[in-house]
Amino acid sequence: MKTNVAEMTEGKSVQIIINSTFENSLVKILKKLGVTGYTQLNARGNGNSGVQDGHSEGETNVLFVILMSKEMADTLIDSLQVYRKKGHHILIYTYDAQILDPELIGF
Amino acid sequence: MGLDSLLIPAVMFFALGVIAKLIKSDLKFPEGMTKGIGLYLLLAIGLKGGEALAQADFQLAVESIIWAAILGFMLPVIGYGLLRFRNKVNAFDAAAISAHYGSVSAATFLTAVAFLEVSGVSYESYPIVMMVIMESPAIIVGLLIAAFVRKRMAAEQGGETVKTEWGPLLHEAFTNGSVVVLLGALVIGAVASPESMAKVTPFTKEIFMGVLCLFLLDMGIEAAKKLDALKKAGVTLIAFGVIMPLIGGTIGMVIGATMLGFSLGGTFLLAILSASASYIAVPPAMRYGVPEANPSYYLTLSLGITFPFNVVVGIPLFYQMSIWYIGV
Repeated sequence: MKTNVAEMTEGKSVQIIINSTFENSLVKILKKLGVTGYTQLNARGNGNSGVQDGHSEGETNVLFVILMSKEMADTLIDSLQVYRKKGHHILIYTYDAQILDPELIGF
Repeated sequence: MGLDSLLIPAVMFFALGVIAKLIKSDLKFPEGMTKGIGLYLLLAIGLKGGEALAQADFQLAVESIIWAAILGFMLPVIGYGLLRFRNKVNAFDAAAISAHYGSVSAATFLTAVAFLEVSGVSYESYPIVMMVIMESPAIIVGLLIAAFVRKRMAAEQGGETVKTEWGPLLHEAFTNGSVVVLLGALVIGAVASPESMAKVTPFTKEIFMGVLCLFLLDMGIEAAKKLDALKKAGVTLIAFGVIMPLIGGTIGMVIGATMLGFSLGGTFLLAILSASASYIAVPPAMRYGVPEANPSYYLTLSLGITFPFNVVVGIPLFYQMSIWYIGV
């Protein structure tokens, strides 16, 4: 059985890299916006806040991968702006995504 | 004396960790292991402290708690003043760094305990309770200073004030894992019957020093990792990493001996507590609460400079100073 590409819906894959100490706040923000699901991975790396090697609580990054509609992606990025201004290191980038079964993720 | 303090297995394992990193060995702890060992150490020292506390003098215990809170609030203020004195360190970095120095390092404390046990010097259980109390106040002081700086900067620049959300921050300060395990173990140790405590002794006492070796081996690796970042920190910060423990330790020693009337062992332990800087509970709290500060500074300082300084220089130094001050 082959999937018909035409059945897929256009959306965005929003990827956010944050320090693990910001994780609870991000989850709260997502909930508030009505995002029903997300995937998160522990992430190690290096950057301008130093090596994040997962050794201790403040030195671990988390990568969120969230599929959503384009409008929702814009709203999310807007609502993170205030935290970025405060100085939180929040790295956001998006991809165009073709999503199968968009109803599964709530849009 | 002198070299004796360095010839404790735990301290030598710390050196081994540093060497392993310097010779680029692939020695590495599995992920999460340090956290696990850290929990064990806090649990074991908490139980031990609770057991001793059950027989302790209630009034002195209360006085110790009050002094621990005073130290916890006072040390970061001194640290902040010291860092801002020459205006070389930005205010947010200074707030975050000084919070680390008001809080405590359990590993430094335990190494000092190992030192006393090897030297055959007895000590009171009060400093263990003081360690629990001293975890949190400095976090609050650091956050308060940062909030104050934020307000002042907003007023100067005429911009809108960024509000500090106190709820989650205070929750974090008082409910962080170290505080819960230590406090819980203290209560359990105090309440449990001596017979039932004897059953846990092999786990909490007999293997304790061995586990501490393992923990310090990892600390050595981590401290050596920070050496690279030292170059970026600059002379002012590095000097602070050495001067602050000397000031804190001296204040702790005077309070221990003069205000609380501790014996040599207890006075020395309080000096080491006051000299030590946190690297477990405070960094995540500052990371979230003072995002304006550069996180690579505070960990580099507390783990890369102050911890090794205390283990190698601070412990023998404050031991000798305590002998001299008390006049044993």
